[in-house]
Amino acid sequence: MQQIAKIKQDKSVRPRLIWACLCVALLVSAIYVTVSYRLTADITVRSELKAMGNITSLVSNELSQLKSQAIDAENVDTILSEILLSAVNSPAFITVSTPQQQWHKNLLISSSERSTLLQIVAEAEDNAEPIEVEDNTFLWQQRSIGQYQITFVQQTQALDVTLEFVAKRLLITSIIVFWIAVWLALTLASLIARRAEQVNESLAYIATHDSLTGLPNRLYLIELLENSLGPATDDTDTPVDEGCLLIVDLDRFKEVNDSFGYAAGDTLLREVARRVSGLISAPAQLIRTGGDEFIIWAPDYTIERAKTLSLEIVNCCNSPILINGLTVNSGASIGISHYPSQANDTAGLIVCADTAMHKAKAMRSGWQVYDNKKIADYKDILQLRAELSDALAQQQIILYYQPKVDLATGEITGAEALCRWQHPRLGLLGPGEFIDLIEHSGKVQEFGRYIIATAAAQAEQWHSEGLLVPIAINLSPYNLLDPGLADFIGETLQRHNIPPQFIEIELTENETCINIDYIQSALAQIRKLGVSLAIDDFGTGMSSLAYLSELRVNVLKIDRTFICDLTTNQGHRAIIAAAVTLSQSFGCDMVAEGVETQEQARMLYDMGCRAAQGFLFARPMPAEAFHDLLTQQQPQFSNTF
Amino acid sequence: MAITSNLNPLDRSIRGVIGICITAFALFNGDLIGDVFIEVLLGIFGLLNLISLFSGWCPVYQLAGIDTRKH
Repeated sequence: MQQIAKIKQDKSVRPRLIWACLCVALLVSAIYVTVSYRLTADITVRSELKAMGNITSLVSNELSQLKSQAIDAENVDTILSEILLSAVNSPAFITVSTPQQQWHKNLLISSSERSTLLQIVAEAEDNAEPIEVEDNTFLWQQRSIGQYQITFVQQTQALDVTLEFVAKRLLITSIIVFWIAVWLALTLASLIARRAEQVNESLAYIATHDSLTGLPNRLYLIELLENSLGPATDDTDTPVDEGCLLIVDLDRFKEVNDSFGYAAGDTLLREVARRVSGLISAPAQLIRTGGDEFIIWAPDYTIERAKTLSLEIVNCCNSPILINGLTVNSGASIGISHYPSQANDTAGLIVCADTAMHKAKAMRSGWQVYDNKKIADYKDILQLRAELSDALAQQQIILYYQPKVDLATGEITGAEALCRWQHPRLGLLGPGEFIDLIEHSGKVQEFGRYIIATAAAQAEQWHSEGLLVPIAINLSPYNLLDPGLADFIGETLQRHNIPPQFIEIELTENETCINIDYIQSALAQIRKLGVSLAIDDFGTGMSSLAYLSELRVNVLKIDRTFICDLTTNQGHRAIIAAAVTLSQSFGCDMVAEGVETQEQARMLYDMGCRAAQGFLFARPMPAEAFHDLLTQQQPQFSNTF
Repeated sequence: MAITSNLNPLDRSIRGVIGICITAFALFNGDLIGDVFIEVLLGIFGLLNLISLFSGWCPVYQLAGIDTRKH
C-alpha cells in the first residue's frame, strides 16, 4: 500500500545521476591523462634513442677511418672520450669489442654497473624498452661494423622530463574538464530527475484517482486512513483524534445503467460526484471506491456532524438530475462509522460503515449510523469466512440428529440431520453462526453435496445394522440451483446402497419462492429418484398457497412459532388446524416442530397431527448417541406423553 | 532565457574568488603554464565565474533549474 508513497518519495535519481556523471568524468580524465603521458614518454624515448644512434654511428665512422695498424687502446680511448665528453651529459659508457679485444669508456658510471648493464643488453631483444637498474633508467644502442661491435648505454631522463613537461598542462586541463563535467552532471541530473518526478507524480495520480470522476480511489483512501488512524509512526502520518467514515451507495444506479446505457450511468456518477464534492469541505475527502459507491472520510467529525452531512447528501441525491432529456434521481443510502468509538482501523471502519449502509438501504432510511457496539464481531465473521474452506476439507462440519416421533406410538419415525461446526478454536458452533456465511461464500453447493454425502454414509451405516430410519436433510434453495444435484443424489444413494425413501429433503418455505420454475423442475427430478420432499418452517414464509400445490411435497413441517404458545394462542391453534386439514387434503404428512411440553404434544395429537419433534423428546445429538437411542427397546418415547 | 539571479551570496562569492584567481593566473603567469590554448581555456573559465560574480546568475543553474537562493 505504501507503493505510491515510495514513487513520490524516490528522490535518489538525482544524486545517483550526479555521481554517475562525476565518475565518468574522472574515468575519462584518468584515461586521457595516462594516454597523454605515455604518448609523450614514448616520443621522448624514441628521440633519445635516435640521438644515441647518431652517436653510435659517429663512433663507428671514427673507428673505420683509423688504419688497421693504428687501432690500439690509446687511439680508441681518445675517440671514445672525445665523443662522450662532447655529446653526452648524463651517466653513460661506450664499449667497443672485437673478437680479440674490448675497449670501454665510462662517464659517471662505475665498472660494476657497466658490466651488469652489458649483461642485460646482451640478453635483451629490443632496445625500445628502457632498462631499470638500481632505480636508474637506461637506454642502449648497438651497432656492428666489420669486426667491431659498438655498444652505447646512457642513463635517460626522458620520463622525468616528460612528467615535468606535461604534468602542469594535464593538471590544469583536468581541472577544467572536471569542472565542465560537474556542470554537465548537474544539468543532466536535474533535467532527468525533474522529468522522472513529473512521470512519478502522474503515475501516482493515475494509481490513486478514478478516471471517470477524477476523485481519489480506494488505494488513496486506504493510504489516507493508514496515515490518519492510530499513533504517528513516520513523517507522513497525520493522526486524528476522531473522524467519521461515510459510505454512500446510490440506490438506483443500476436502473439508470440498464435503462439508459453506460454513458448515462457515467453522467450520473459524474454529476453525483460533483454535487457531493460541493457539500464537503477540506479536510473531509470524497473518494470513489468503485461502481456506484463513494466513501467520505471526514476527520474531526462527530457522529452528529456526520448525520447532518448525510442528510444533505441524501437530499442532494434525491434532487433530479437531467440525463438524456429525462430527469432521474439516483437516491442514496449512507452508512456512518465513527473512529475510534466503533472501529479503530481501516478495515473495521469500512466494514462498520458498510453494514450500516446495507441497513439503511434495507430500511429505506437514507442513512444509518453503525450501532453494533461489538467492534470485534466483524473480525470473527471475517475469520470464520476464511476458515470455511478448511472446515469442509477437514470434515469439521458434522451432523447432529434429532428424532421425529410418531405421536400415536412414541416410536422414532425419522431423524432430521442438523449441521454443526466442530470449530478447532471456538468449539461447537450452531448453524445460525455459519449457514449465512456459507450461503454468501460461493461454497453453498459444495456444502450441500457434503451434507448429502455425510447423511447418506450415516444412513448406510445404520442400515447395515438394521436400523431403518429415514434421514431428513435441510437444503437451501441455492443448492437446488446446482444443476447436477439430482444426479449427485442418485449416485450417492446408489453408491451407499440406500433405498431412496430413506432420504428426505427439507426446504424452507420462504426460500422456495426464489426462481420457483427452476426449483420446481429440480425438485421434480429429485422426486423422480423416489426421495421424499418436505417444506420446513411451514407457515412463516412468504409464499402463497399456490406454491404448495405446485411443489407437491410429501411432508409439511409446521413452524415452531405456532407450537410454542399453542395452549394459549387461539389464533395459532386455528392455523395448526388449518395446516392439518391442508396436509390431509394434499395427501402429505405433517410434522410439528419445537414441541416442548406434553400438553402441546397431546393437543397436536388431538388436532390430527401424527408426528412431532422437539426438546420434549430429544435435543439434536451426535450420531453415536442417536444410534444408542435407536437400539433401545422400542417404542422409545411411549412414556413421554 | 531571461537572466535572473539564481545564486545565493555564498555561492556567488566563492565563484568570484575562483574567477579572480584563475583569470589573474591565466593573464599573468603565461610562462608558468607554457601553453596558449590552456591559457585561453583558463581565461574563459575564469571569465564565466566573473560573470556569475557580477550578475549573480549561472547559466548552467538556469538550464538545470537549480536556484541556490532558496536554500
